[in-house]
Amino acid sequence: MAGKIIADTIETGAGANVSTSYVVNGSAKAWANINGTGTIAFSDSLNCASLTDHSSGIFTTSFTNSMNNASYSTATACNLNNAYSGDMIVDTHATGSIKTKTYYGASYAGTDVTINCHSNFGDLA
Amino acid sequence: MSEIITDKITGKTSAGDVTITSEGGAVTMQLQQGVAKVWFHFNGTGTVSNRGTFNVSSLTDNGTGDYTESFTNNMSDQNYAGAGMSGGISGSFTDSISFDFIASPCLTSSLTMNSRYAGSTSDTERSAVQITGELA
Repeated sequence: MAGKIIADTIETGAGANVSTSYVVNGSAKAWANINGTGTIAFSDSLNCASLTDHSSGIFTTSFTNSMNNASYSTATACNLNNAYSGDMIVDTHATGSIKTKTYYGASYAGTDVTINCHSNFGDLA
Repeated sequence: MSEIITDKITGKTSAGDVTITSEGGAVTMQLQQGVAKVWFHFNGTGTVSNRGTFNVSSLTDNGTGDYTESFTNNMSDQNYAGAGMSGGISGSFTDSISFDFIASPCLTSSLTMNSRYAGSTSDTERSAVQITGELA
């Protein structure tokens, strides 16, 4: 049987302490590294169940366990690896999924690249 | 209020697996997987320097808008998730700046990044990244 500890604070032997709320609330609840070329696929992920490819650079990541609300925080990055400016942005936050777009150039055209990362912080349901 | 004083938490059933209960109480998740393994915030202008870091050994200036952060403890594979932002080109704090990883795949021991403005690599005054994934 697995052990279980219920506590409000964790403290090291050196005296540094942190409320367990920082551990629970401050941990990423879902993250993914996605290869967006060809048949899109997770290179690795946490709490992510599946991918939907909408069009170039635009896809939806569905979560295994849903977030508690759609107000969670997301940070992104990608590897454009070309001469243009661009970014990976969030199109839609939903409790069960997140839709993102990776684009480049002045026309903001969606583009498929090998590394698309997002990390999501907030409350799980 | 209860308090645990310890230097190390190890899973009982599996050493690398400690679960936490979700805020809503509906599910549990693996603590280790959700904890950031690396984070850094650096100044990429002039003599580049880290302002704040965790599990970072050094910052290398590879050229204009081109940086490498080396890790103290390596990641277990190249498929970790890095997410971040960059901003603060001198004289232009409102224009869009892209920030991307130029190595594909990323390395287990380091991450190389470009910041770009108007299509060209540009030094930026502040860049910050968090990395989640598995440590070696």
